[in-house]
Amino acid sequence: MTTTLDDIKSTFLAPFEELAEKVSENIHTDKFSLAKKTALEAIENNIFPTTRNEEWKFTDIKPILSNKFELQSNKASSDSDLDLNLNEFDYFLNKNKDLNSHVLVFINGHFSEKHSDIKETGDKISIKSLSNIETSSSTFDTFLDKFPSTSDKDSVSIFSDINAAFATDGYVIELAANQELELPIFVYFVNDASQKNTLSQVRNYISVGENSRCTVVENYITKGENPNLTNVLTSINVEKYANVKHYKIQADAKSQFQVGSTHAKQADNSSFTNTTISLAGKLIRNDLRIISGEHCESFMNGLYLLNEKTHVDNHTVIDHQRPNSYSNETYKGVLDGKSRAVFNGKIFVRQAAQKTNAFQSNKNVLLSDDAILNTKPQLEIWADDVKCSHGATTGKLDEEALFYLQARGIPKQKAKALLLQAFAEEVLDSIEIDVLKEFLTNEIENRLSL
Amino acid sequence: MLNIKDLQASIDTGAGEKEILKGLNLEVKAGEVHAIMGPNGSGKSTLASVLAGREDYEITGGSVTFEGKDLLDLAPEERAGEGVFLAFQYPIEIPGVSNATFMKTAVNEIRKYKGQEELDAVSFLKLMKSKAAEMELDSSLLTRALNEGFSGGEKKKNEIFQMAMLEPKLAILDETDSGLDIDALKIVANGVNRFKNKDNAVIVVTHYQRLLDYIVPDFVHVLYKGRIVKSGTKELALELEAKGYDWIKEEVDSVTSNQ
Repeated sequence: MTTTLDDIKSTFLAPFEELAEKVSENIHTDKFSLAKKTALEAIENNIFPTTRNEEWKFTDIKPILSNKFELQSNKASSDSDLDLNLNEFDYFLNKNKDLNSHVLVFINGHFSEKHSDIKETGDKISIKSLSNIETSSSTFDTFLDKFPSTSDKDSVSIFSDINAAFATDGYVIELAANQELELPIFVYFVNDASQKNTLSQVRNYISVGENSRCTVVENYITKGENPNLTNVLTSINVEKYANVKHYKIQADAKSQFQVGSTHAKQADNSSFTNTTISLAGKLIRNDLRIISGEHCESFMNGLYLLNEKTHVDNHTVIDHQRPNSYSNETYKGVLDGKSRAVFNGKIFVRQAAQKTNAFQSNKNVLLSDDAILNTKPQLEIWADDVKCSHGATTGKLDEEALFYLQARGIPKQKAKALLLQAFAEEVLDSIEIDVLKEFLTNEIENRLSL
Repeated sequence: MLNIKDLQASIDTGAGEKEILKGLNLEVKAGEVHAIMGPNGSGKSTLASVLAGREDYEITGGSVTFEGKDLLDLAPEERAGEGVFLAFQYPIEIPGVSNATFMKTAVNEIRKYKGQEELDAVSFLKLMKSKAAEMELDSSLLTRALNEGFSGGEKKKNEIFQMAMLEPKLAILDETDSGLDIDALKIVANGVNRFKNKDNAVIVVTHYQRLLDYIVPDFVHVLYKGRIVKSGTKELALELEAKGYDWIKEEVDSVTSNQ
């Protein structure tokens, strides 16, 4: 007997059945629950993508689906049950607290009041967990209207639908016009997979008003050896003249699966930066989609440093819909062991988007013969007066450079580390948060001197 | 100091092994300057590379002893630790690694190898500044990425600056004169002359006599077809400059064909 995709789907979704009923019972006329209804229907009709699907060609999700995950529907598991010593795996949580940053901690997909530290912000800035928000209110309906659609077939997979239907919590950040958050907001998604397979689903929103500025850092931390799946969906609205920086730090346990989507919409004259750093995990799929207005700047920075059997797939889309905008994408990767990285970067320049400047580069160093890289830049340009470029390189570490350093007395391992650090520098340099840069530099140094 | 006996080395060309050094003998003592000259393709750069430990070459015979140790047994970084320095013919550009960081790592790794304490930041900076000034190396080059975008002359000056910083026992200069204008040539030669003392030695690998006007050799050797075919004093270099290499080729080739 062969296992069909439907069997896999029903096995994976079995734990959701009871929950689906509950969700169905609670659907009202507000947009948030209507979106759940749409998502539930979509789940019924959709199948999980196979490698025959162009968007998932190099990423087989069977390893994720073959696990049965425990739903973390019980809020009680977030605060008390866990013997969590956050300092144990925290690198800069305490530093951030000292810095007076806002810190939000989610445990197994639920907001943890105990570990979080949200300062007084006044009424122009709101930092909350989704669970503390009246989602059926008309205010929230209006709020949701600001975000780009996530039900667009090109941009989502069944995972986004599952998230939309079953997300347990998430963060909701809203800045009114003319607000500047000096310090980054640090969000920690902590998973406890020490006892059982866990599934965390979080739904996040960032809305930044005209002429406002904020930085959000998402960190993913898993404790324990059991398989854990994090399914995350972050929607970002950047108003005119606003500046938003969004970081994703994936320095997780080896057993961690993560599927995540980030959708950003930029109004005219705004600036948005996404930086995605992947250092560990079992299988990670990141989808980033940016829709850009006129006179916008969009930056997509990525660094993946993989070993063993880690699989990281970055799919990015920058959609230039209006003229005179600039986008710059730099993704760099170092692959060791039997790791695999997939990069797919799409640049759309619509007919109206004349005078667009769009640049993309994906550079890779393969340290092992068993590592695999699949890279695919994709440019689709309808406008005629644009400047676009893309390039992808893959190679081994430069033997000549290595010999040069060795000939000056620097041992081979150290010489390798120096060269790889120099390679990663371009991405690290773009990080404006000192503690984060410091952490990543150390992490990379430790990793490379193995 | 350095004793090369019957050294044979070959390289894998992809279409089979090609023998380049075919039984080379050379002895270098402390306090001496040796010039190795020869036509293109005679094996000069191969000799320099083999001594520094480049892995592309396979040693098929002979031995190299440096200060009593089997040099061929050591990794490139160990050779540097023992005091062998190669000034590269084509110094590598390394984006992202600053010249200063590179130099500090190199100086301290070699000190570690010798069992000495690492230099602290202040002493290192002081040393670096004085040596850079001696080499007339623009201080902006120290903070820039290693050799990246350096002119040909700057790269070669940077090599000699590194030599001055690392204070090796044996410095091998591989075609350091190539691509240098007269001013840069003098600066480089002065750097080498400042470095030279009774306890260390220099091997100057060059195609032309030009550099030897400034770095005066005690011995001049002619390398041809993988062997040293003629040795002499600095007058030999002048003779080569005047007459070219053909007479030596003829001499060697007729001897070989008579055998």
